[in-house]
Amino acid sequence: MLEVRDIKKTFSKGLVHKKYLRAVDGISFTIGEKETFGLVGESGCGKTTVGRLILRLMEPDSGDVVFNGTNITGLKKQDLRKIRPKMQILFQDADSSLHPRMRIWESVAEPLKLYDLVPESDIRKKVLELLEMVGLQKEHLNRYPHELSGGQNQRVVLARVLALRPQFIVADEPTSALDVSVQAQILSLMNEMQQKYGFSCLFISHDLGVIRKMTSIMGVMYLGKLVETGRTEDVFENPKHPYTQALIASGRVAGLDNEQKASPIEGEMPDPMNPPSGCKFHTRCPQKMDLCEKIAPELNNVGTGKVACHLF
Amino acid sequence: MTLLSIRNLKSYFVTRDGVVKAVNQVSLDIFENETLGLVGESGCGKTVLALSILRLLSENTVVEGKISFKGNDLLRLNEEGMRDIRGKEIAQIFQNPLSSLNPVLTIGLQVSEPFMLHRGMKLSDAWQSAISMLRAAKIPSPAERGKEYPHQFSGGMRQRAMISMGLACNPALILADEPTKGLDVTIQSQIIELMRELVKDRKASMLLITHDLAVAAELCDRIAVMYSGEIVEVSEIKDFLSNPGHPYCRGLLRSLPLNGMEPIPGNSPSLIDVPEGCRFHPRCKYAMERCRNEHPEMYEVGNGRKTRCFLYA
Repeated sequence: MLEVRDIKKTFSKGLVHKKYLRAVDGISFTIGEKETFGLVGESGCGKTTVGRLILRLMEPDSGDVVFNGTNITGLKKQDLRKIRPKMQILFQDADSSLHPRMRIWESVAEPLKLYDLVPESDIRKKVLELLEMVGLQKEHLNRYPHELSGGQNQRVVLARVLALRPQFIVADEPTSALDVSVQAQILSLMNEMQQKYGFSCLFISHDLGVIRKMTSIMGVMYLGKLVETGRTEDVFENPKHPYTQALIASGRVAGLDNEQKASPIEGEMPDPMNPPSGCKFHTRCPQKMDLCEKIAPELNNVGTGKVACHLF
Repeated sequence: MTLLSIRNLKSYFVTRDGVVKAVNQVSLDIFENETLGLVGESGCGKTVLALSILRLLSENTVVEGKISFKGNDLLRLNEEGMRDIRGKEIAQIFQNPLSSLNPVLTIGLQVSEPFMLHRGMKLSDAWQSAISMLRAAKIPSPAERGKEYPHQFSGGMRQRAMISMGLACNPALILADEPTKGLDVTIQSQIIELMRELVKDRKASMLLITHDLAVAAELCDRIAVMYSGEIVEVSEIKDFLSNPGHPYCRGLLRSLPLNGMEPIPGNSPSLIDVPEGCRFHPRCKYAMERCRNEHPEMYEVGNGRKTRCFLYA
């Protein structure tokens, strides 16, 4: 369905003394039909950039993204436009994804008009149908985004995305700005819609609990690289990379057990402009060896998944 | 022993759209040497409650009730008396340290400030005390980093600086408002660990405001849950997690991704136009006739636990 092959993206800063930031440093994975791939990592690890590179909202420096057999990295603008409705994105901040001066129905109607999906006379009916499907009512049609709550706006954005019948959706932290009870509403709705429409999804989140609940396969990113990938249940049951282990321990995903006391890993993420040599995690790794400072480990098959660590 | 006791606290804002009843008839006790979690969703009034304790709300707010602390009623103390309490007896650790720290003063100077203000120290002594506070908050090479400005600190380090500032004068009570918000999970657990250590070492009490039940579960002894401006449940944390009483609390726990992620239907009511009767009844699956008309009290459920629900009446 979707194959990402060794994509890279470097940002530069400064004119004379250029500094480079390897936001995405060679990432590959595949997402099958109706499958949800979870991408997890801390802020600044490059997970959002991956989502944008796949949709070509940013141009990758190198690497390929193959969608339904078409390599979209080389596509011209006109051809890309034909594929766009099939690949959509849900942003973290729904309030700012909607035009503040457009009424809700206008926002949802826009993609329908843009791609001529419904005859002009049926648009309002179709919009209402979409909004009702995501749990909103007729009374919301004429409101403005600021009159709705964050959760309701995220429903509107989801309706707008689904209007195009996409085959693939990038969900970039769609609930991180929402309260838990509202988060549960939105995530259940996404699951329901996925059942109904059968789209594939790249689910980006820093919340391990959400990743565990929403995805079947996952990848863990650290400073622009994947350090571990595998089936979500396997990764949570038996995390292999020391960073994954630390994340899971500190993410308190074992539930709300008062007794369980996670021992946090030391230190903070290094400056991505000036990343450590060898394995990028070695500055914080409790199991560091001499080798780790010198040679960057490759992502190798370990058990049912893949791990980039010299321990394996 | 009760350290701070809040009785019938009301904090209302008068706005163009109507009166916002952010805190409505809240009564709550914070005991000595305990960490009490104040949990609720955004807009339920938990931050306003903390700001009411230190009288940091703007002039147009109506605050009524009684807040007793060490023989004083904080709501009736004069401004000078309050200044002696703020930072010295009761300290606040705000969310978002970047906007709470002064961008043009060095971290060391800002942490020195409470020592100079409340302990009457000279700058040179205060600086030394500040550096040892930064060390206690596990900021590496504190003597050098104390000379840096907030923008040179990472989010986690800034929060450590905020914590040093809050704990500088060994306050009896710390009000911590979402201290781990916006931090990555690995940094979050470092900060939680640090707060646990420092607060217990100093035998201080803490009111921890959070929307994150997992953070509350790790740090708190007791928990108070707020909904729509009211406290709906107060309980030992263990009892709460294993057997929440109020239907809203049950829903909150069940809506966590790993507890089934079962949503609570509907939305939180606006604080201007709160529902009649029990405020949760429009979303409650146990709602009875009585819930629509009468407003429930806090009922004793045993083991020091209280719940605002007619199921326990």
